[in-house]
Amino acid sequence: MKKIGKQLLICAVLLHSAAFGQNASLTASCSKTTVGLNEPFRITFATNARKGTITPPNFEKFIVVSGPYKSNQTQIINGKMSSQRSIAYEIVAQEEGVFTLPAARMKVSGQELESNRLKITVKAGAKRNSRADRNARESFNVRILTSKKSVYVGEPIVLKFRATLFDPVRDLSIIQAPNFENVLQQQLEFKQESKREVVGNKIATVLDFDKRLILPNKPGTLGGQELKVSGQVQVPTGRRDFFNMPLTKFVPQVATAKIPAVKIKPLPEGAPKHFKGGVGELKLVRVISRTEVSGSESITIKLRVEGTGNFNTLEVPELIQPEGFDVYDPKYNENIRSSELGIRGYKEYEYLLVPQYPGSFILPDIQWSYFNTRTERYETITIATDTLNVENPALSGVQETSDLEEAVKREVKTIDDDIRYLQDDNLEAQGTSNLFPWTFGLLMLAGLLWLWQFAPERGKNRKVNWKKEQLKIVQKAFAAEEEQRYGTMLNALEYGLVKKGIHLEQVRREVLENVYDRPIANRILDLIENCNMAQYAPVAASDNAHQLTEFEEVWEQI
Amino acid sequence: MGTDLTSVTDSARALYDLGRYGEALEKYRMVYASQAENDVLCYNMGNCYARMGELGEAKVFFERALIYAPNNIDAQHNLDWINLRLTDALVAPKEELVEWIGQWERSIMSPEGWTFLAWVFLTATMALLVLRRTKNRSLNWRWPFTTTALALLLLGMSYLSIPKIKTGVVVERNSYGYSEPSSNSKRLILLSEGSAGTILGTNNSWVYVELGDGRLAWFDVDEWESLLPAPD
Repeated sequence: MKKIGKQLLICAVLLHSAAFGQNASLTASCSKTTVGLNEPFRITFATNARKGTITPPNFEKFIVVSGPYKSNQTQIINGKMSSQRSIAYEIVAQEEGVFTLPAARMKVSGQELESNRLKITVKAGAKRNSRADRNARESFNVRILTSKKSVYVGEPIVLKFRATLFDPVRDLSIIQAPNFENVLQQQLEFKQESKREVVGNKIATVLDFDKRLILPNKPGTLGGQELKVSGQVQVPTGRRDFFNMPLTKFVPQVATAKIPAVKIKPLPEGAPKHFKGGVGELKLVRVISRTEVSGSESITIKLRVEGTGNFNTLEVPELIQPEGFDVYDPKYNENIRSSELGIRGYKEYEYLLVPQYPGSFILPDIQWSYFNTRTERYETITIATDTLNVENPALSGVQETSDLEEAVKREVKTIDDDIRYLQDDNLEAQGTSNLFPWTFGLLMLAGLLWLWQFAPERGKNRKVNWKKEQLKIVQKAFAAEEEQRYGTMLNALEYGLVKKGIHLEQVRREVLENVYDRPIANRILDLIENCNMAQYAPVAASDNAHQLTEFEEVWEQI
Repeated sequence: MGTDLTSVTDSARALYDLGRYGEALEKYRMVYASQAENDVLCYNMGNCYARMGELGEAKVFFERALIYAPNNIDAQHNLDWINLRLTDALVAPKEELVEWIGQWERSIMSPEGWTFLAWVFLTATMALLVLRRTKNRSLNWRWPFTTTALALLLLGMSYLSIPKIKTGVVVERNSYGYSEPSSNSKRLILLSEGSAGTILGTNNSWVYVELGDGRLAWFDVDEWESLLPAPD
C-alpha cells in the first residue's frame, strides 16, 4: 500500500512537470509560403500548452476552404512527458501579392501567447505542376448558367451553378458566391440531381448544386462576379497497398467560374401614369363579395395582383373608397413562390366595407399599369366602375347620434313629390353702394364728437353762461317767492365777486373801488347789506321787485 | 332699371311655364350678375337647374337662397327634395359657431338691416353729444355712451351676419380627389354629384377640400362650385 502511494506521488510530480515545467509557446506554420491563386494550402497553429483555446487570426485576404482540423499528441520519452496541440485550416488566396497573416492568440494561466506572423506570397503562376496536382486541378470545374442574356429591370433571371466532376469529389461547397449590386438575390430550393455525360472524350458527372433567382433593380450589365467552389478530390498517390490496389488520397481543390454577361435593360420611356413598378406577366383582379346588401351586412372587396413578375417590389393599387361606407384598414395577403420560371403568386389587399346609408353608391374604376415582359410593352388594366346598392331603411335610425344626423333626417322628412313652384321676384336694381365708407364716416364723426366733449370751453361763452345761470337762479327764486330768495341773491353776488377775485370777507368800499367805479361799488355794498337784512326781517312785495331790479342792474355791471 | 329686371324675370317665368327651363335659366342669369344676393332669384335658378336634372347646381342655388334668407321655406323644401335624390352625396363638415350665429342673424334681418340699425344709434349718439355740448351741459354722459355701445354692438352683429361660408359642392357627375394638385398623383376618393366639403384653399385649377369625414383631397376646380359666388 505504501508502495502504491509512492508511485502515485511520482506520477503526479511527473505530470506537473510536464504541464508547467516547460515554457508554453504558440507557433504558426504553413505548408507553402509561395502559393498560386486559388491553390489550397494548410495553415497550422500549434502549442505545447495543455490548457487554453487557440484563437485563429482573421484571414482577411484568404478564404477558408476547410477546417479547422484539430489534433492532440502526448509523448512520454524517458519519463519525460510532452504534449502538442494544433489547429489547422485549408485556405486559398483571393488575390495576388505578398500578405502577412496576423498572429493567432491564446491565454494560458493569465498569460497571453501570440504566434509568429507568416509571410505568404501569392502568384498567379506559382502552382506546382506535379502530376497529382495537375490531376486534382483537372478533376472538376464549375460553371454559372443564366436563364437569359438580356432582361429588363425587374425581370427575374435564374442562375444555375453547375459542377462537372471527372473524378470523385467530396465536400463540394461554395466558398464565395457572386456578389451583385442593385439586385435581389434569392436561393431557390431544388433537389440536387446528377447525370452522367460525355465531356471532351471523358465521362463526367454533371451536378447542378445551386440555383439562384436574381431580380435586378437598376439597368447595367451583370457579369464578372466570381464563384469559388471547394471540394476534396480523390487522387491516386502512385503507391499500392498490400492487395496491389492503388492508394488514393483526398486533395483540397478550388474551382472558380465567372458569371456570363447579362444585359439589364431599362424599362422603355413613356410609362403610363398608373404604372407603379410592376414588371412581368401580371393581372389585376377585383373581387366583390356582393353588390347588394341589406341589414347589417358588409361587403368585402379584394384587390389582387397575380401572375409572374417582380412581386418583391411591385405595389398593389389601393381601393378608391366609395361614399356611404365605412372602410376599414385592409388586410394584406400574399402567396409568392420563386421557381425557375420566375416569381409566381399573388399579393392582395382585402377591404371590409360597412354601409352607412341606404342608396346606390359608385365603386370607382381602377386603372393599373405594368410592363409586360412577353410583349415588351406597358399594358394598362382597367376595372370598370361598379354599383353597390344598400337597401336598409333602418340605417337612417342608426344615424341618430352621428354627425350626419341632420342631413339624413332631412331626407327622412315627408317631402312632396315635386319641387315647389317659382317664387315671385322682388327684384330691385342693386346699386354698387358699399355701406362700409358711410359706416366708417359715421363712426369717425361720433368719435370726434366724443373728443369734443372733453375739449375746454371758450372763456367768453363760459362768462356768459355763468352770469346767465346765476341771474336765472335768482329770478327763479324771486318769482317763486322762496323764503331764501335773498340768500340766493347774496350767493349770486358772492359768486360774481369771487369770479372777480374778491372774497366776501374782503368786501369793503376800498376794495370794490379798485375794481368797479364808485357808484357801482356803493350799489353793490347796499345790495349786500339789504340782502343780509332781508334774510332776518320781512320785506314788502314792492321791495322784492325793487331789490330784484337793482340786482339785475348791478349784475349787468359785474 | 327695376322695370327692365321685372320684364326679364317675367319672361323667364313664362319660359319656365312652357318647360323651356334652359332658356329661363339664361334669362335669370342675365339678372343674376347684379342680384347675386337675391334669395328669390337663387331659388328660381335652383328650380331651373332641378328641372334640367342638374341636381348639383340646383343644390348650390337652393343653398345660396338659404344663405341669404334662412327662413325661405320653399328653398328649404326644394333643397330637401334634391338631397333625397343625392343620397350618395357626402355632406359638408359642420359649420363653425360664428357662421351659425351669422345665419341666425340673417334669419332676423339682412346684414344691411343690421348696419342701418347701427346707423340709427350712431346718429342718436351724435345728436346727444351735440346737445350736451351746446345746449344742455347737465345732460348725463351715460345716454350717449349707451347709444354708442349699442351702435358698436350692432355693427359687430352686422359684420357677423355677412356670409363667409367656405362650402363647395360637386356639380359634375363625379369628382376624383387626389393626394396632390395633379391628376398624376394618387387618387384618394371619388365623390358623386352634390357632395359638399369645406374649401380650404386653391392652387391654379385645383381646390383643396376638407370632407365631412375629415379626409382632405385636391379636386378639379371645374367640378366644384362654391356656395358663395366669387366677388367680381
